Amino acid sequence: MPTRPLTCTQCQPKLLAYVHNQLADSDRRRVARHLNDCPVCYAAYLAQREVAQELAGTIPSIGLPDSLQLNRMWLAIQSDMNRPRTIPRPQLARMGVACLVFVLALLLPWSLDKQQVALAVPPPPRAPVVTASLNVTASPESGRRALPPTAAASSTEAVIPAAKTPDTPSNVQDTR
Amino acid sequence: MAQTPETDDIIARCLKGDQTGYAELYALYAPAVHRLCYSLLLNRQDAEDVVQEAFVYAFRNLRRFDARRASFKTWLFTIAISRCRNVYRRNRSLLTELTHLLANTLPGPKSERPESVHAQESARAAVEQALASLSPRLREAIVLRYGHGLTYREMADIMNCPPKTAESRVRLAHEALRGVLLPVGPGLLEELLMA
Repeated sequence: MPTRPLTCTQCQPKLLAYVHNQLADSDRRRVARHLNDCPVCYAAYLAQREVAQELAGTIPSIGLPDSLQLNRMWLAIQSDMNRPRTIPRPQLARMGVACLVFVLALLLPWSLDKQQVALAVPPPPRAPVVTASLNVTASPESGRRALPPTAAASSTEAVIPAAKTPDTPSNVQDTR
Repeated sequence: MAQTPETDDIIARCLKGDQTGYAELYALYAPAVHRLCYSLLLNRQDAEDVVQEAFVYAFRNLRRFDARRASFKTWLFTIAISRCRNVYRRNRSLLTELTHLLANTLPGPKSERPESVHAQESARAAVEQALASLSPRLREAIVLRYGHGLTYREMADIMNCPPKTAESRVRLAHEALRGVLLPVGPGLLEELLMA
């Protein structure tokens, strides 16, 4: 099955791989065919090839070590190899932090549970309010005077005994 | 990357406890690893430190090397690049001064004509400066391709990325270098050819 010819937009991203001989055979043939017919892409190919040649000629010579350097590094490697292995300090610190995080992770659900239990327990009745309700049972008139309306409204617990009385104030009933 | 039978034999000897094997492995691979590290870090001291670390790690973990998965060179390069990346992170100011780069370049063979040596030095300095302008990932790609002639697949193994990513990194680096080198490139090339 004949392959469709490449357009310039399809060909140009493949040019460097073509220069590097890294294309599959079928792609290579398509690029070659396009370069034969397209002067613009051929010029781009020549420019890529020129830079590639310059880089291939220069980069391998960068950082070539001399024998002195090689010997110095070899001595350092030998000395490192003969040294007993110790855990480096940053690694120890990292292990410490990891242990701390682990312990905190273990403690966190426990502390949250404890907080939930504390929230679930109803608050104990307040001593002065209980006294006031007792007063209400004893004498409704004096109870109304002794218990301020705000305190009665805010404490449901306190008014429960008072609700049983026939003339309980309406605001107290509302709070039930 | 083809593994030479020689390397297999040396590694086998090392694993049996032959200490001379380590020296042979070092002699075989140290120049390439140093070139790689220096081209990536553009600093002689950092490069030497990374070469030492990489070889010490490789020798201590030689039992972990699996010849079926990668060649020894690929494995060693992977170790070296990982340590070079640690240095990038530690030392963000990677743009080295040109004067420093020129001071670190090595002299060419004495038999060459002075003008030829000068032209090569200039070309090398220009390329080193251009390499310094690339991001570390693009520099890795271009150095592995041109400095060591690796295929896109081998580069991908070493850089831990898909081959298509390796290819696109080479292309991006190439375009960036082309932009930097074009003002001086053809002239230098001509000078080199004339020399």
